[in-house]
Amino acid sequence: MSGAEAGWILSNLEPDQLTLAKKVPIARRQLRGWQLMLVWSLRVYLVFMLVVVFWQAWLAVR
Amino acid sequence: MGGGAQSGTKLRIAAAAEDDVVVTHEDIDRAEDRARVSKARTGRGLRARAWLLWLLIGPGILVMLGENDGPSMLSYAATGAKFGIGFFLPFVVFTFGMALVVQEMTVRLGAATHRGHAELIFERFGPFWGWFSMIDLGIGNFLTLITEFIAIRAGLGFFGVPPWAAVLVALAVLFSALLSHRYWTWERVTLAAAAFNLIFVPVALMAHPRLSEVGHAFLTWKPMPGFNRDTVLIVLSDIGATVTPWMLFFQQSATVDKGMTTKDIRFGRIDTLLGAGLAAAAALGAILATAPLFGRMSAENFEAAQFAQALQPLIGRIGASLFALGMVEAGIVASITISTSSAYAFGEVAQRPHSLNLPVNQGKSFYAVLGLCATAAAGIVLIPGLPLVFVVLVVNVVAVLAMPPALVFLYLLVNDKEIMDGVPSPRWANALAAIVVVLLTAAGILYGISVVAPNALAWIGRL
Repeated sequence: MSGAEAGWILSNLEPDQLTLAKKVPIARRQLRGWQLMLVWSLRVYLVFMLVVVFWQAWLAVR
Repeated sequence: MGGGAQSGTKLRIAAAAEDDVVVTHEDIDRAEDRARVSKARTGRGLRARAWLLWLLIGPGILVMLGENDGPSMLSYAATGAKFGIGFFLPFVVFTFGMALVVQEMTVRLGAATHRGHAELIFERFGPFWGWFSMIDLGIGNFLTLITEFIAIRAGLGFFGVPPWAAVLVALAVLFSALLSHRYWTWERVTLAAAAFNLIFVPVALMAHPRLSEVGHAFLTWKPMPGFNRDTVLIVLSDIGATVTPWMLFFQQSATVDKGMTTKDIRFGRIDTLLGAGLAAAAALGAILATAPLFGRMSAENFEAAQFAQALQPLIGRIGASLFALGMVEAGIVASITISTSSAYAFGEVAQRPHSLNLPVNQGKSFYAVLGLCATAAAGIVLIPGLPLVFVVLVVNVVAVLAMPPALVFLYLLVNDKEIMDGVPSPRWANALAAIVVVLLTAAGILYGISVVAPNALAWIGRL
């Protein structure tokens, strides 16, 4: 591939659009107290509700 | 430059200036797409803007019409047959408004970060929360895929096509869309297939709905249905027909694969708005088409062929056939988009190549996951004696329940200044997203109450 072709590709893509750039990991962030409480609450809600749904659907099918 | 002519897995090139840069086949294809967008952007006038819009639409329309899938269209059909014209017409439009709010966030997130949704959750919040999200997505996607093939089987069954042949037709369409190994071609082929979702509009016209009744329903949201378990279930089912977790993952990944940047966000919004409008039209079409069945048919059993057969005396053989074909289209397009969403998410989490621009030899795991998900779901539908109605019953409800946890991560990511590259989330968008989370959680809790304590539901209804 010529330098002109390479330059053409790079001019049409933003630097972080290159496949290689996407392999660079993004820094981890810690969830704050209220955020952690919210995601845990919704997780518990989801698990409880899934049990209700599957139980109800199972009864309906039987 | 012919992207397809490039061989080898990676080409090390000397960038025009100083650094060595590694460019993949995927990058070359994406650069070609972006070059066309850049050229279109230099044009002036309405025609040039329309061309630019044509180049940039795709993920939004696909995600919205893709979500008008088999179980969704069956849910709308059941809504019309069970409740007629009234509250549910404006309510369904309202649910598409919720979908619009949520999906617009994924456009911004994808355009600003150039990373998929699964990838961002894993990297930003760690594998613990990442795996929870993946399990939600995996279960939801696979159950939904099964229902797509149920819809395809039922729809083609109306024409006497045996189940094995129906499933093979669907898989053939799905794999044909992938043949070009080019995101752009895949997107246009799938968009063309998705356009047939609007087949429900002429079917609705064949049912001769009274415009005065439709207008009254939109203005007053009446007649209201009774407040009971059936109503709560259909409300939840209709919400699950418009907002689901796979949509978040799909649109963000497709936005990235298309190569959209922050300059394209406005067009991404228009794309999503167009998609919501078209999908809402098809959904309303399905409700209006089956409204003549109100009071004549029990809609307990969500089977596409039954709706088509029941409609035949009212809208004729052609109308019933179009309805059945609409179900087939809904199932096929959704099986394409949902299996692609699973493949994107797998590639992002496993850090394997994941793009529709990849040739098969460079994207083996991506295409393998996509094909395996679809083939396994299709195979399950052919196993005799399985309680498939169980899957149809739960799939939309599960989608609604899984949305609030998914939305919280979306909200946190889109407000994350470190990754959003100078694209702050407007307050109005944050407020609307918070309202959607509250509404979805409340709908789920209401459903739980209707199951665990139906008497309490009656008490709430009297308030």
